[in-house]
Amino acid sequence: MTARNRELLNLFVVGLLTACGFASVYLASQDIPEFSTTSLSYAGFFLALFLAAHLVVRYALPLADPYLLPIAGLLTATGLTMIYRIEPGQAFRQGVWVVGGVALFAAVILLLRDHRRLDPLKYTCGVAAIALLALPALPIIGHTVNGARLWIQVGPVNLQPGEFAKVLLVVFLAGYLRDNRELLSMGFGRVGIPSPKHFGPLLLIWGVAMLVLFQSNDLGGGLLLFSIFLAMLYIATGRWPYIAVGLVLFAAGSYVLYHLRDHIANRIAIWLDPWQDPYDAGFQLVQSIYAIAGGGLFGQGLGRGVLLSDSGEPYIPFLETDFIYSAITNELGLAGGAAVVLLYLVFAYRGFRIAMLADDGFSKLLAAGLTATLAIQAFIIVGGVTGLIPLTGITLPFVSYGGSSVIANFLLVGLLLIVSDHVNRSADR
Amino acid sequence: MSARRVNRRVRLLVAVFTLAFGVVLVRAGWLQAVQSGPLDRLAASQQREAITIPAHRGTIYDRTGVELAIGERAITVYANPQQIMNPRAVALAVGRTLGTDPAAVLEQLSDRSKGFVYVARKADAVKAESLRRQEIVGLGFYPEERRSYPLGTVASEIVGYAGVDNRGLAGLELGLDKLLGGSDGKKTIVRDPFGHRLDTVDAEDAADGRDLRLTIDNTLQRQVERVLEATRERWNAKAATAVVLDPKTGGILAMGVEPGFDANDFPKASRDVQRNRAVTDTYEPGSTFKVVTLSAVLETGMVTPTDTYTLPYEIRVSDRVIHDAVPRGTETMSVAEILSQSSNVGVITLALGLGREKLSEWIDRFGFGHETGIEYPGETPGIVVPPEQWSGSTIGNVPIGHGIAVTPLQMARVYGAIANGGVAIQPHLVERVEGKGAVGPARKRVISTRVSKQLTAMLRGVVEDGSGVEAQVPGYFVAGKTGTAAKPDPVYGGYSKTAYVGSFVGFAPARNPRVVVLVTVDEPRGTIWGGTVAAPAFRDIMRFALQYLQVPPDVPEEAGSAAE
Repeated sequence: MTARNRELLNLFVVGLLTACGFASVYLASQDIPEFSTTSLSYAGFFLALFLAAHLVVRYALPLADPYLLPIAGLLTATGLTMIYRIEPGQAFRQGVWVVGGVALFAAVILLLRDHRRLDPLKYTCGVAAIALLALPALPIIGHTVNGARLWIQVGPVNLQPGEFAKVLLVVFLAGYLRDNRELLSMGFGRVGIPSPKHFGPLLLIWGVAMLVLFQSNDLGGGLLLFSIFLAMLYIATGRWPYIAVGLVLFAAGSYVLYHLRDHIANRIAIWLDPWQDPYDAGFQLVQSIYAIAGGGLFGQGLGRGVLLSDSGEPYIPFLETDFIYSAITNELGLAGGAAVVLLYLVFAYRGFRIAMLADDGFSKLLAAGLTATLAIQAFIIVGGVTGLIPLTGITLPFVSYGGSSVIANFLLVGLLLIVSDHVNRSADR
Repeated sequence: MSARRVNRRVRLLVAVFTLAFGVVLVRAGWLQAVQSGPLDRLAASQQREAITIPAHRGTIYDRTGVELAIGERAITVYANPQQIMNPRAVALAVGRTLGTDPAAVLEQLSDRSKGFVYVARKADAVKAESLRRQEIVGLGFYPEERRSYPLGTVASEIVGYAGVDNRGLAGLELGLDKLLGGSDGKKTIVRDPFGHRLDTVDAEDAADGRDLRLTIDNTLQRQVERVLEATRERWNAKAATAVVLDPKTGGILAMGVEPGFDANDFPKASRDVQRNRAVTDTYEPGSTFKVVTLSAVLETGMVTPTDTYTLPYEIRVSDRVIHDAVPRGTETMSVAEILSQSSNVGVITLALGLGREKLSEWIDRFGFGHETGIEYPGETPGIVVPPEQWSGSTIGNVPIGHGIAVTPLQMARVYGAIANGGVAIQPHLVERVEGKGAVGPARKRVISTRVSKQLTAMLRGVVEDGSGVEAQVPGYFVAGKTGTAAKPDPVYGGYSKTAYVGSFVGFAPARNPRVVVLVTVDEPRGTIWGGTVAAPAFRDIMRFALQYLQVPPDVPEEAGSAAE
């Protein structure tokens, strides 16, 4: 079976699951269950959308990995179903974003064709990434949501430029680290302690991450950016001291900011003991933990969980964005939650596999960086809502409600598939 | 760039991510499989919460507006042991702040099978507030009212007390609990994502209790209790009781019992001292009852006060021989003299003329054997033997106040009726209920104005030169009657040879009575006579009451009478 047929088969499975999900939410929402084809038509439309994406891949990237698109599809479907269950109106808007994401996915594949064409644009990408990160800090267009200044408003649309910045940053780092790999790898002694002057780039990125943290109060975003950088730096150089120094720097910087900014200090305090103030500061996390625990092994059933109060307000604020994982586990239980986590893990395996098969440094670093981005982001938010690590407000890739996040992640998958097709073509030769 | 070395690094990264997601799954499994049950219970307890909104309990005022019972702000501290991470530390903090025993608190907090325990009911508001500020997880607070009795022992037998749940347990607090207590409100609330109320379901507003204004005067009450205490000590008596009644309104100005108790500290008081004996206990009234017999014979027109009888010292009734208190020869006495000299023989002679049926009717007419209907709970109707059960000798007992059990209040009401021109007024303690129109007390004419005047004149004689001279109050004409009766012997039956009740009941000023006072002294030692043990207490109370109520004297105080 060819890779594309495998992908098609996987997508049909995803479509079937989507239909089941929508149907059960629809049935649960009614007092007297009555079957309706409306819910099935949603699933049908969704399947059609991903079949279109499949056709683009089949046409342009016939040898690309057959699992990444179905995984992205299943995660997106899970998110849409949950958002539909929480707030049907938002599901429609999210659907529009998904269409936009798939469109960008197709455009990138059809227009870019070869990721290596990004190599000469690496510095442009780097500058663009920093510009995007700085945008929310601007007056008028920038604004703050839930204490984090991450948003810009363009016309009627709210965008989170940081979501796109992370992809651009990976492109930049892939090119830059490939070029400066030799220099950065030079070191003394058996472990190869790098020369102090080579810490320059590290300090620069650290500075950017700290600025993001300080300016936007976004601990999650800063952690994500810096972790991506460390992961790629390690792959490029293999030098532990970079990682060690980087982690120490990040910890020190966070510690200083901890004392400078209440928002960050609160996040840490809540993580250490959410029950300190269960009805105010710790409310989100406590409710999240209740929701997760309430799911038990197999969940309350899709559409039957205790997520909304009688008046329709979610018990957990930001349920459909930051806390969507809690909602999923409440209704689908440990089994459903574990399935979602395993999807990210399989995505990571497939992504890193592309990196390992690649024969040039840029492709390797790009594939590894893009994969790490998605996996780290998933870990930060799932770890956060389960109380494993301090809770920071970032989206669960593909699943959470949010246009910027969905579109940026489809861009990420598109790039990854381009690399994959290229890698498999070279292997065939 | 060496592909193999790079791939080794990527593989390491894969391992790191596998590990990281593995830890996430372990954490999820811990929450969803292991901790699911306890966390579920916690979640259920916080999403819906039933709250009782305590109704404010009405304040009890005396007739001058002084508070006798008030609801003070207090805070009840409770805990959810399942939420308390470190019971020992919390117990110590609670003990330190509230001043309670940490060991007892610890025992409660350690019981994780419970989701709710009281840490302290109705704790001091200030201390509880400082505990609340420590923001200890698992502790909860809600406002409550704590009943407090600012005057302590004063009027405690009347007011009674309310328990920790703010429900009346004794006295008027019990008798009028429904009025005072109102009804608690109820609310079931659902917390919103920010911990504030989202939905309120099944809301039921609290209806506050009503304030009461009593007829009691705290100053008079205090004085009465003081006099009773001195009297009880003086005669080494078991108890002393007094009723002070306004004959024109039926309002009870004071009603004291000694020994008493402090309503703020009621659990330490024995049930025995908590009784309002003036209402719940009976005694044999002895000679004070003779006015009933006299009323009957005068009212039926059988005799007039000036009719005379020739009376021996003794009289035989059936198998019994009854004699007067003081030995004497056969004398001729007027009806008035029979009462003022308290002649048993005379009264029985009159009663024999009246007959058991007629006498029983009059006893009933004066309200004996029936509750007076006062608001105080646990009132006894007394014991009156119906005429068809009388033995041959009963007509020799009852007319002189033996073989009949009455409450001090019933007796006070009889003298109130005489003082009020023959009209008995329902004795009562509550002058007004907040928000309710005044309902005049029931009035009932018992005897004619003529007879009431005749009786008053006779009773003045008792105080002026009869057995009640100790009851004289300088400047006022006092009418009254002494009473002395042996108590029934609970062990051997019949009557005790040593245990007596000495009493005095009367009113003043005789020409326009304003105050009725009744005093009983239970089991005095040394002497038993009401004229000796109870009359001085009557005098002290009456003198104070007349001055306090600014009742103008009947006669200017003369040098002679003021010299006592």
